[in-house]
Amino acid sequence: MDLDDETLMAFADGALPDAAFARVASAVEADPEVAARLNALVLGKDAARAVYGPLLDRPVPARLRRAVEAAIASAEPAPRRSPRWVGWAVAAALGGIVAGPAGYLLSRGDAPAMMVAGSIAEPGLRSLIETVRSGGVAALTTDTDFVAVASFRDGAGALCREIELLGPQSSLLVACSDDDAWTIRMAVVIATTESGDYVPAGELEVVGTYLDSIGAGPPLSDDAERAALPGIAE
Amino acid sequence: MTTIGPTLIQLLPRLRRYAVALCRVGDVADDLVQTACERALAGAAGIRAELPLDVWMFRIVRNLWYDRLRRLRTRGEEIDITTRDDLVAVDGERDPERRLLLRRVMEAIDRLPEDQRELILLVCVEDVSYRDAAAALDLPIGTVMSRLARGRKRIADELGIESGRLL
Repeated sequence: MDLDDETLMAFADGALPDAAFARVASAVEADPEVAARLNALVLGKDAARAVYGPLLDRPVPARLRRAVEAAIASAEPAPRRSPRWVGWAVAAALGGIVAGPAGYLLSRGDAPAMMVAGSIAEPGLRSLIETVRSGGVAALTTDTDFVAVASFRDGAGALCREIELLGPQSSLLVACSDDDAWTIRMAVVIATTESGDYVPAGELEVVGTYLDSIGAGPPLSDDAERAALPGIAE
Repeated sequence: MTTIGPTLIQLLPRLRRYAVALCRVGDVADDLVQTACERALAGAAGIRAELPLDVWMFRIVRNLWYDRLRRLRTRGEEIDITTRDDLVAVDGERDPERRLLLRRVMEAIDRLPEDQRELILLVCVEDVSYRDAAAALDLPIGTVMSRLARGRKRIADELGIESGRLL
């Protein structure tokens, strides 16, 4: 029986109709030459998957994620309220003042856990919010890094920063400046890899929904950020 | 109005993998993915309901990449690929024998004609069906299948069939 490579490939990929499948299966069994061609077609696919598979585990760079989120926010501005967001609103209504990084955590059930928003009492965190440029990283504590993701203005014009605290317990915060004080407007626990990189999960939707709800503008350019935060070094 | 934003966010890791595999440089890939998402959101990309959104996004990323390549070539420029970001599997492999094999796979894929390589990426890596790949690339399905089969055989020929046990 004469079997071309395309048919063998479709057989290997499970893309043949049942009738043809049985016919090819018996040909593969009966003819070592056909079996060898089938093996080669399978190997070609397995090899490609082996080299590109691990690429999928690489975290999406925060800058790309923010840019796409900003594009979505401006193209599809209708706010969507997710159940998680409602959960956070309830947590926020209960109130709670933040004392330090460990105190941000309210509960830890199904990720992303919700945390309490409040004013920032801790001078170390406040200082980093005012001095680290977006894209920059600084140590908050011995085991927790402060990553400035982006600066933007909310619908009322207040300066806000999206921040990741990466450590044993990682979180994503949105802090905004009211008069002289910085307030954590929202915070969620995030999952990170061993190397401290951020793995997008449900929390992106929470943040996206939140940013929609406060009318967040696009990320500030480097120049605009320096103008808004004079503490950022050149 | 149907919104595609939430799906785009979910697709980002796959779009980025496809773009990095296609152009080999992370920064360029990020730029392609961002522009592709902006185009899709602006409705300028001709997204049609009969194909899955991921396939349309791959199509937009791929067309943007070829546009960019054409413009660079017209200007006599090339993208600097001295630091490649698509060698994650090779660089991350600890077993020396398998690492060597993965490097040979990369070299074999690099030597493929681009029309075979892009189908390997779409169908073998991203699990796009022959039919959807044909629609995404504006090709007859028979052409898709014959290019794909040739590319897969060529990789296998370069590696030697016995290397399959290591994959």
